[in-house]
Amino acid sequence: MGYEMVVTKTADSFTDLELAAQSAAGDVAAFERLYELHRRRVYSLCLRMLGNTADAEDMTQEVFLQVFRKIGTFRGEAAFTTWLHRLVVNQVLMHWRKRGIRLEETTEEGDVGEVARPRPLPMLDRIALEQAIRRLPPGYRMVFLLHDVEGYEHEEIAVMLGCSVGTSKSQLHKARLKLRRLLQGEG
Amino acid sequence: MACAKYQDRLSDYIDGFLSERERLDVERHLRECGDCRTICEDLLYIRQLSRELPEYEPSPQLWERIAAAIAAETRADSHSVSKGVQRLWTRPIFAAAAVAVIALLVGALLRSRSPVLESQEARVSPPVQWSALTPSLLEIQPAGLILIHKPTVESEIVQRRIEALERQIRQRRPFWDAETEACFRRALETVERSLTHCRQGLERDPEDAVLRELYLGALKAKLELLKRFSDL
Repeated sequence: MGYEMVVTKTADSFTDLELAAQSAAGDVAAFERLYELHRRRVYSLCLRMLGNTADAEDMTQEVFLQVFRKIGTFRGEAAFTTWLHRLVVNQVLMHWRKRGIRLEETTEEGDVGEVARPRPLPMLDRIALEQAIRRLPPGYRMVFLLHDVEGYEHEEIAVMLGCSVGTSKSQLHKARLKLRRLLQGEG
Repeated sequence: MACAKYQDRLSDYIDGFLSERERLDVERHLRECGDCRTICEDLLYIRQLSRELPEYEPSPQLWERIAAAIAAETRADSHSVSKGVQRLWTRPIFAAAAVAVIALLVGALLRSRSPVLESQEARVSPPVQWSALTPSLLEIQPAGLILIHKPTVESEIVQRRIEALERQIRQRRPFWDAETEACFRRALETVERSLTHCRQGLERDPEDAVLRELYLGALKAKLELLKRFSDL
């Protein structure tokens, strides 16, 4: 009597690309798995960009609806997370535009203004940092979150935001210095 | 003046974007300038702390909202594509026949289950389609993908919609003609038979994934039937 071993690939072992292909074919379970894998990261980014949970949930919903509508166009040339975050960035920019929020002038100039005699930062906790990030001007916040929190390279951020690499670097530097001032209570 | 020049470069320095010559130049300045060294250390600290920020969890209801929105979009798309078919479906005889086919398919699947295949079927079941909340004939798919959804939640949603439509039909039913009444009763009996089979099976084994799926399919067939007759 012979035995046949059947190896079934479970949903946990599918790659993002495989799940995307299954979702594009109409498989709701595959799309739900994609959602489960990426919901925290998308939601956290939205929360930090927008500053409140209600807007962040609405934005996360809109992002995943966009993902569903466009999932057939994802071919795996870039990482799924990059493709996904590009959608997040577009949605956030659109959200800000609708509310008349203008990003700061994007410039490659390195001038960061007068720097007073520096005092070292006090020991920080994450909550203080989160609050300071929320107080950053929108454009600085966007670049800072994408680079320092999400770990994207300036080249990727430049593509997402439609700006130059130099502008992305400059915005990041200004964001860090502004954060430093906020954390020192200088505003 | 010299400090401003170096402070402009501090982010590029800590991120490693400077050339060798520029890096050595900044480091030489940092050795000599306590103010710039303080700023540099602070920027490093902010960068390090930022990388350790936690991820947050959206509310558990968010997926249900997304799934419902997608289902609504799918329904709108399918309606716009098949208006001709829709018109045909509004005739009671076609609606009843189509729903009966769904119910019979569910019944046939139920009957075809054999104990030998049961363990395999528990892992392999029809894929759930985006039209999950808008049932159609297309939802009965060949087996092949793994079931990873939550039929209980979906069943509850379908059940709520059924109850709403039943109330609507109770108001309209007295005005139906004899043919409509007969079509509806026959189709409903077929669907109810399938639902009864599923319920009985689930009472014996509530964890049977395939039965749960078939139960959901039968519920959706009933929903479809009620939808077709609710405007008559």
